[in-house]
Amino acid sequence: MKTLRYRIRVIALALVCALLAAVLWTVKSVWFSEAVAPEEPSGSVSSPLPDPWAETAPSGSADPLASPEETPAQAGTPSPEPLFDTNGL
Amino acid sequence: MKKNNFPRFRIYAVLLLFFAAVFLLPACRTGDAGMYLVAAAVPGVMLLLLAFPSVFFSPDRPSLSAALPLCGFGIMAAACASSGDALSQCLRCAASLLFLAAGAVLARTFRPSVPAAGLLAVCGLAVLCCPLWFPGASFSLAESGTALLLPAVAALLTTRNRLPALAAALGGMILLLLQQDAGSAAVWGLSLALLFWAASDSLLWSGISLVSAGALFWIFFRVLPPAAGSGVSSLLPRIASMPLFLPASVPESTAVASPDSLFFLLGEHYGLILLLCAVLLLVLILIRGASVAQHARKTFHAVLVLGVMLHLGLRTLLFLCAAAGTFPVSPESFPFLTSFLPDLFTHFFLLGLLSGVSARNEADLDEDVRLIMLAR
Repeated sequence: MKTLRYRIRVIALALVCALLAAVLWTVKSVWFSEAVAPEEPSGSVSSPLPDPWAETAPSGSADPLASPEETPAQAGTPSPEPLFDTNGL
Repeated sequence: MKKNNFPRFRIYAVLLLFFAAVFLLPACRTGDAGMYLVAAAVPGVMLLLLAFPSVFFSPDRPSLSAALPLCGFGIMAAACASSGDALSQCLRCAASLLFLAAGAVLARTFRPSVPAAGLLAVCGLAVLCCPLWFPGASFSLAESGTALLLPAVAALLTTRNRLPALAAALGGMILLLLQQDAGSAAVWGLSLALLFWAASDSLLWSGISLVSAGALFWIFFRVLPPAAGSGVSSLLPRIASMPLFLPASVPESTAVASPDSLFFLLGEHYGLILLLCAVLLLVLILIRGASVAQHARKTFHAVLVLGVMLHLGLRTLLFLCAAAGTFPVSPESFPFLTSFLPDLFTHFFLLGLLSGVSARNEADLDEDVRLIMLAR
């Protein structure tokens, strides 16, 4: 009977500690989900960052992430004439 | 004698005033006759049960003092939907008190024997089979079935019939796994292993019970596919949206949709502090159960109360973990804070078992005092 009483005490203590730990875990999960989640603007759906996949250039193989200087000349588009024609000099 | 009872009467007075105010204020604001009835009935029944318990039967006052406020919280949550729901919840709690008396009588009069344990085990397994006979049914009688199996397993363990006890308990676990009720099966399996550890003299039987419960779990979840649509989402966002104490604006009244919704309705309308109080009240019931079990003279009574503690404690733990999304199961019902009638009956029946053993302990103490007086 002594062993039974000791084991009852152990089980009761473990249960109570587990319950309190579950409460603290839930509080921590709720607290950190509120702290980490970014503040959403009220009503507006647009994101502040520019959408790299937005349709700003003609469709094709153009790389939207590439800088404007690196964009290859489109087929059929005449290349700009040089300012000075050095061939006649 | 008066001096000893005074702190207890102060606590009862605060409790009764709190529940009277919580129902009377909305009743005065809306003029709803149903709410006036609830405001009179809830403190009135609490007063009858707490102040004059020996008139009806001998419940365990400390555990009843913790369980009645939990019922009151359930009625408060139901009142957030409508006064009709609050009245229905009042009637459910009142009907459950009969099971409190039944549990107390069973605990005081039950003599642990193989035939009686066998009868209880058959009843428990039959109750667990019910949802299998009605495949389309959405209800679960897991709590009721395991509550009937509990005295049977305790009696068989006490009379050293360990193999029949293990067979009955594993039979219950198989039935729960067939219904794909993973949460209830896990609670029952863990309770079984801890009961074997506490009650049996040899570690071998504890190991056998733990290994067999774990093996059953593994086999069922390897062999049987999970039920369609059994994915459960975490309820953390719903908990995160709850205020700490009282909301700034009164939330819209929502219907009591499911047994677990009372818990969340309570949090949304009265704040997280009240939910914390509900968990602490349950912890008080567990501590009282441990005290009653330790003072029990007979092994059967101690193991029975230990089983009651395990059932209520592990159920609450499962509910909290399911609500937090830690376990992929849906939260079923918080003890005493549910609208599902079989579960509410079960919780009061288990409290009745605890009360019966507590009354038995007091009777044994009175007998000791009488014998000492006679010896002098």
